[in-house]
Amino acid sequence: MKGRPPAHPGDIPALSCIEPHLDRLFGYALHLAGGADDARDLVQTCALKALSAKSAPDDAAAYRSWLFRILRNAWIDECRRRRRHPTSWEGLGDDDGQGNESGLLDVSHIEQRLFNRLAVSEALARITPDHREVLLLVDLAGFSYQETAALLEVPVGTVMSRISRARRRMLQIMEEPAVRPLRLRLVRRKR
Amino acid sequence: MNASGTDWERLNAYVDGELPPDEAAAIAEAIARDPALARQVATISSLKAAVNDSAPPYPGQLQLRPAHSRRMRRRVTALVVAALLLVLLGVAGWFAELHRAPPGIDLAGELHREWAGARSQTPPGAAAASRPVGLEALRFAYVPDLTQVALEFDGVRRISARGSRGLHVGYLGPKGCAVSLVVFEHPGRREQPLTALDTGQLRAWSWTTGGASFYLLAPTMDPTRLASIAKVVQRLTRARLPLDNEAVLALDQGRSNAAPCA
Repeated sequence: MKGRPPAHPGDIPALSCIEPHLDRLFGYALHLAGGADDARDLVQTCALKALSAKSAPDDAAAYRSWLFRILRNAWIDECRRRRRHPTSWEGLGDDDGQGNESGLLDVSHIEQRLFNRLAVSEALARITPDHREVLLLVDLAGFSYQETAALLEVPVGTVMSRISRARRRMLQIMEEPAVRPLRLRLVRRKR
Repeated sequence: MNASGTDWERLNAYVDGELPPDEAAAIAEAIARDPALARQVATISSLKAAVNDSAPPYPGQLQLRPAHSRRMRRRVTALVVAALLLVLLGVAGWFAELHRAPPGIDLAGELHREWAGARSQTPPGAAAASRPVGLEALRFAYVPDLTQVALEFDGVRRISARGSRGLHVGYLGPKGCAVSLVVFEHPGRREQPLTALDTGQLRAWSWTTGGASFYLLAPTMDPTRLASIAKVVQRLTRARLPLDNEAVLALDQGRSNAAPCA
């Protein structure tokens, strides 16, 4: 990584480097943190760290990857501070989408209306944190498998495998009826 | 791998542009031949686009303050809002209490009639039926002792009716008059001057002082005599003073000139 001159809050060009990535950083942070306030805090912490870093990557792609890494590390730090496991996010954790791993998915009946923002957000909240993260980095942030693998410190093959499983599970969830019956627990009355 | 030699993972990698050119070209050919495969690719592409579109824009502008100071600011804001709400609720409560109508002459009249009725069935000279509380119980309001002006003390009763709390003090006069001093607790209520009340059936005087509303009732008493007692008692309750010589003289003179109670 080639050193860029120190950036600080008064350094307008440095701030303008971050601004084009704000929306994507916020989208990523929103799914990590689960709430808009925490997500905004994360992005601002990320920007503050980036601006006060002694050096930053010169290359645009590396710079973007560097920003996401800062945000992710800030989230991990925040989880440690709150004694919360970074991957034990709130929401409905779901299974791994195991089974029929390599076979094609029957998508003949999947309608385009399923791909609305609400349905996607709900499905994102229900897949496993590992799958969610890789999906967000590839689809939302636009990273390549290689970049995602470097960011998550996992092999490229793992990214490839996770992204395909994540999408399979997303589609399965989005196919489910929007209105699900409540799970009622039967309680036997003592007489 | 399916019949066309393409599995789900490779299809995803194809959509993501992650396959080497020769593999990507082979899949492109397969898609051209196989409509089902084309649908798969379309679905993955739609999902990818939907995830890409799922993030709302960053709200507002960057505020480059440390996270803990932002959190602290949010907490302080929340505390200030909570404190303001509490103050608002307190003021509203105080305002409501201030403007709550006093229990009124009707309740005072009922209390007087109940006491006077019970008293009329007691033989003359007999002690009052009960004295459950003494004058020292009148902590929320100062009630002067009127026994120095030939009014016989006939007991104090606690009142707790229709959401009002207070005391009823009974006095019996030498000319057969039954005098009630009814005091209702009314904290925070503004001072009210001495006012004559006449409901047609009942004549009384009322005033408010020191967080208590007073009603002086003696329906059968000479109105002039009742007015002079009310004036003295109101002055003493306001100043929290015992009967002084001036008051004793005024009340004695008023008594000698007054007609007996019916």
